[in-house]
Amino acid sequence: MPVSLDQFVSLSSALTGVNAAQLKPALDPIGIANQYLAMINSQASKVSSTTFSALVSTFEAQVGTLGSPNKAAAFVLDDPTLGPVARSIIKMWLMGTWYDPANPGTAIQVVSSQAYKESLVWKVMQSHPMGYSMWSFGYWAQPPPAFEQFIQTSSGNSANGAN
Amino acid sequence: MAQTKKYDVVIVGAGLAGSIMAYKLGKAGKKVLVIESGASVPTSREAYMEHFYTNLIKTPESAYPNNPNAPRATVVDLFNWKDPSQSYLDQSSSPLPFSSTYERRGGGTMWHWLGSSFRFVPNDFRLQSEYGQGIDWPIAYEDLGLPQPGRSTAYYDDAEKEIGVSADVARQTYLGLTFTPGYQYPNPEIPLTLTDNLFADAVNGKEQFEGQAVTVSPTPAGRNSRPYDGRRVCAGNTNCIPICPIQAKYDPTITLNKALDTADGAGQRNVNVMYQTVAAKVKLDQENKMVVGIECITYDNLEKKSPTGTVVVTGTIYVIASHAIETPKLLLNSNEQLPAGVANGSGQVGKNLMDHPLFLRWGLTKDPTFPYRGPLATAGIESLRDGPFRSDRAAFRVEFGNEGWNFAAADPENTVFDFVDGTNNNLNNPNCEKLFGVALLNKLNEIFTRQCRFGFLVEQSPEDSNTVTLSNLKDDLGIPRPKINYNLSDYTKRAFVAAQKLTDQVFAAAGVTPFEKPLAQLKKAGGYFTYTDPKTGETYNFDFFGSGHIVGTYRMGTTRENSVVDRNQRSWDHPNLFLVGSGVFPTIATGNPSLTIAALAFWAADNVLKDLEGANPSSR
Repeated sequence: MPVSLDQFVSLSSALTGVNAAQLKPALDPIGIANQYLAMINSQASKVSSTTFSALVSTFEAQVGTLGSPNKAAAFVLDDPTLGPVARSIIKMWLMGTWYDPANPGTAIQVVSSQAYKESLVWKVMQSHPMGYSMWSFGYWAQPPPAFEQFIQTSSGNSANGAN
Repeated sequence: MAQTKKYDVVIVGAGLAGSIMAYKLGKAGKKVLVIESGASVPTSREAYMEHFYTNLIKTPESAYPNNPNAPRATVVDLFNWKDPSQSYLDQSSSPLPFSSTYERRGGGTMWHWLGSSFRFVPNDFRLQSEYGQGIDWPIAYEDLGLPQPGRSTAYYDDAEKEIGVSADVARQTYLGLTFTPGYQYPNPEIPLTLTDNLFADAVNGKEQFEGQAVTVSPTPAGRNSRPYDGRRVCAGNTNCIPICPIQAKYDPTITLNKALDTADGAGQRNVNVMYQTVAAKVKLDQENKMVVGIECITYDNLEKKSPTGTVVVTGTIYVIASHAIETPKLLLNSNEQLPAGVANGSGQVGKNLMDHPLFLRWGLTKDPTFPYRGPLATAGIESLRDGPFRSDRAAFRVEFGNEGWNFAAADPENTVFDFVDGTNNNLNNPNCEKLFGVALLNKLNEIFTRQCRFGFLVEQSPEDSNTVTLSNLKDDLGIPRPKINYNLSDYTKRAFVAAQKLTDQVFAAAGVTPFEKPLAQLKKAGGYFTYTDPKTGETYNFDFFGSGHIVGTYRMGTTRENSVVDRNQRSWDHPNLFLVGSGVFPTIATGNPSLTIAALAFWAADNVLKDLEGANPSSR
């Protein structure tokens, strides 16, 4: 069975800590989750469909066994086969780039220009993608809006950059 | 061989200097031909933006496609800088890498300039007579900074108007800088970032270094603080290098466009551009006196080697505006009648190659200052650009980066790697923790919102032995590639020691925790070098980057023996040949070069006009 978009988003939310509704909004004009799923399913990802399916099914089974997506994410990240793929998925959401799971420092490709602009790391730093500001002149003289304005976390607990 | 009609002026290079000269000469009714080795100016920058967004390595060149017909130095080349099969510049026998890069395309290298628009300070022009170092310029600050007889504006004023510099005169009158009475910059000052203010509050009026006040000043910026010249206001994309997505930052395509709009009474354009036209040889008359043409190779495909033929372009006066690597290459390659090359009676062509060797220091602020926001640089320490120390060591200015550790430590990527993969590339993860979920988000936020970095732009001393010559290796069109020999003098290296001490002092005053590469990693860097203090015996380890400031190699001077061009930027050897751009700088001075390139180009255009009108006896 191919991995569905909803399955991929649930896994991604547990791995990244970002609320599923932010990763895949109900109305989604960009469809970045679809692009990322297609990236993993492509030959270029160097991830077999067997491994990817095993990652998702193991995660889902462990949500039931361990009782929380967070614990299930920790479980798959510790797995020697599944962990590297899970870490590449975290990095893809953060950086918009797919990294070779077998060589974690090696980038394979920027998924797309949209992926660069949508990558979450810019929100984590309470900013904008370098080269794609959504702010106006002089904004830099003031602190940015709070972290919660940029990232809605999966736990429902507000992330707090100052702690 | 095909030959063009004879123009009043032929200009080689459609960058800053070439575009300004074309504009001024076209406006004065002269017929001008600009030849440009690379691609035409695109009708929209969207293709360059797409190239940037999808490029894995965000170098200064990352927005601009390679063109095998007009190759250039790139940052990626520097990964294998000693191997000419991997690097356009032949640096195979150079002690250190020349690390600055450039573009060959319409608009030139300033597609990826930072925008810093400094005037040089008065003592920059007289380093030898004030401090016994380097060489004096044949001109003084006043020649550029104040109106010359018969003019109401200074050449620096003209340059600032063209670029649309945003600054406040009251905060730029340091170290002897003076201005035209009543002068105002074209646009108001750019607001400072939170990091700038952290350092300004920590040092201004409080800290001294080597007996001089340490003062943070706003950086005069070639970016719009209000709509100007038909362009938008800066939106703080934090991407001036490699490319401003909205052209709020000036670039020479703006001036080139104005040049193309100049026309004669019959509505015929005064300025024409031939793109994809590579200057190969400067041709002289039989007496080796006057330039009679420039032989060029044309090509028809930007993506592959595709020469289509040769054409000779002709004019009354010739201007070479191809900066300090490609200009000497062209002059030295023009060696059929004069074995030493054109304009090289002094033997100075290709010598004194300079850059501002760039020393980076970085750290974490105590509280969040929210970097990765605003223009790439908005302030720095300018008060230490001049002083008695210049007798002993090179001067520097300090640029504050607003891009966190993006330049200094390959972030955000490296820190993301560290906390996802459990590595410690950037030394924030000594326990090699592997994080995920909300804990990862919080850790990354805590680090990214506190990053800061200093860049020290060191005034490298001019050295005869730092050279551009012709390599035995040729490019795809059969033109010899530039061969580089480059090193740093002890005078230059001593500035790094001072920079280290200043960083320690200012970081401590501002509560910043410094980070630096471990020695083993430093030793692997291309720009690694050591300096041993002869008094204390202490050895220091450093590495350096390029500032993108390619300077020297056809310097201006007072005699035909000590220089390539005179103070008017006219060749001593060939009265109808002008050489412009940063290659004429006798020293690299303490400011970023573009504003001075522009000011000198306005002056050179006046000199060309005088010569065309026969008013200047030296042209005959």
